[in-house]
Amino acid sequence: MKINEGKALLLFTGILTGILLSIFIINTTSKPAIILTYQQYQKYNSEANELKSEIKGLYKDKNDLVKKLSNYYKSNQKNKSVTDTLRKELDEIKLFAGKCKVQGTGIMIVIDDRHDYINNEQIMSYITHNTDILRVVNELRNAGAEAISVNGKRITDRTAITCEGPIIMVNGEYIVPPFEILAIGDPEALQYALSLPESHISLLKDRGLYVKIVKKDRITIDELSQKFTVEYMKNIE
Amino acid sequence: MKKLKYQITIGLVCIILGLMISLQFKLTYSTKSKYSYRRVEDLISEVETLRKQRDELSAQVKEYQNKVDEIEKSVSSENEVANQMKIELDNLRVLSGLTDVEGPGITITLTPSNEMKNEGTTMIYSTDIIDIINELNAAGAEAISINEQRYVGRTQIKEAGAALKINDEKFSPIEPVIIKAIGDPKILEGVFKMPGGIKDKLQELAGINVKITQEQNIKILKYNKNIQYKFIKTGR
Repeated sequence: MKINEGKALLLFTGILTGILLSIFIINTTSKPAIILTYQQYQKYNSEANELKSEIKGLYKDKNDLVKKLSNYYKSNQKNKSVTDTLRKELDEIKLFAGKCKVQGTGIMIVIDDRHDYINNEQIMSYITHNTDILRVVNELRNAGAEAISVNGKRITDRTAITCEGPIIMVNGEYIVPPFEILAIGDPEALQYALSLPESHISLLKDRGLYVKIVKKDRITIDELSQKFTVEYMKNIE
Repeated sequence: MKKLKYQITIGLVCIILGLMISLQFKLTYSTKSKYSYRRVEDLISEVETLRKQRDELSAQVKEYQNKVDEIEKSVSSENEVANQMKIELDNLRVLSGLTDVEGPGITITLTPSNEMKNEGTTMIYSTDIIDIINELNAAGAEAISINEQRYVGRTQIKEAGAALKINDEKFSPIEPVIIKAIGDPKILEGVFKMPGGIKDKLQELAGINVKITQEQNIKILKYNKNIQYKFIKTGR
């Protein structure tokens, strides 16, 4: 009996060792670790970012198309339904592209150079620069402005506000002071954003430039007058 | 004698057993130090899943688009008004950033320095990006994206807490930012060559490395957010 007990124990430990040994081997010979250089890592990261963005756009497309399609199938008069849909879409996209005159609540900002300069050293800070206009326009957009114009020139995604020596150019057309910036949006929100101490308008005031902000119930902004062309980009089907 | 032999064997087996168990524990608990490997593997598999998802979705979208096109074409072939509208619609879509586009252009990579040199860590500000976009537009860029976010008429670029927010998506201001633009590559790159221009300003004053490369063909994605207006009433 005594010998049997010992043998049984030995057998038991033997089996246990076998199992552990195999687990050990399986665990240690894992897949070879993939080591990326920083550049490769960045590349994967930016690809993931791009894909996420693309997928979001595709989901939106899909929803829009499904809705459109079901509308088309539902209607009895296909001709009228399609024409109406196209007209509605065209109106929406014209609004988005700044191709139509718009109206709404908003604010008007007037900025003018400072004329009572004392010495010539500080003269640069007394002048309204193209970057000043650019900053103000951007602050308005960040505060939720839905349409913006500077001296009647509609601001779009392709607008450049550039310095042409003594003159500022917007959408390829010259503008001169005083600069009148119109923005449609929530008048309170727009005014609040501009009145913050870190806003560019506050900086302009500190520089002694003439700045006037007026909230308005009704602001009219003209459509984009310049035609932007497409020469280099192609639509991906 | 026999007993001693047994005892030695069992003792040896026990030692090996103990060693293995301790090693096993060490292995399972040391996975934390392999965190970076894990992340890399996760990232690669994530990219693969995303690719698959993208392909499936784009196939579905194409299918729906074909059906819609079919209906619209059948109507516009009989109806001249509808036809004109469809043409204008398609043109405006491309122009205003609502389609994926491709063409020649440039890629600008802004890399903030993470080394503790003189100025320490640097970061990218929204105004840096806005200045670059303004220059690109002045050079006739037809489509612009920042970290794959299409720059459209209503794109907001701002600081939100510690993050950089573009089209309501958050990005880290201490990570590289990639700006893509379609247009004449020579002219687009040329505007940044001016001494004392934005590139110099960013590199020398802000400590941000600016790399500009001309590209034969780059792809810029469309704006992927819903477009809503609350305050505008269209006056026609």
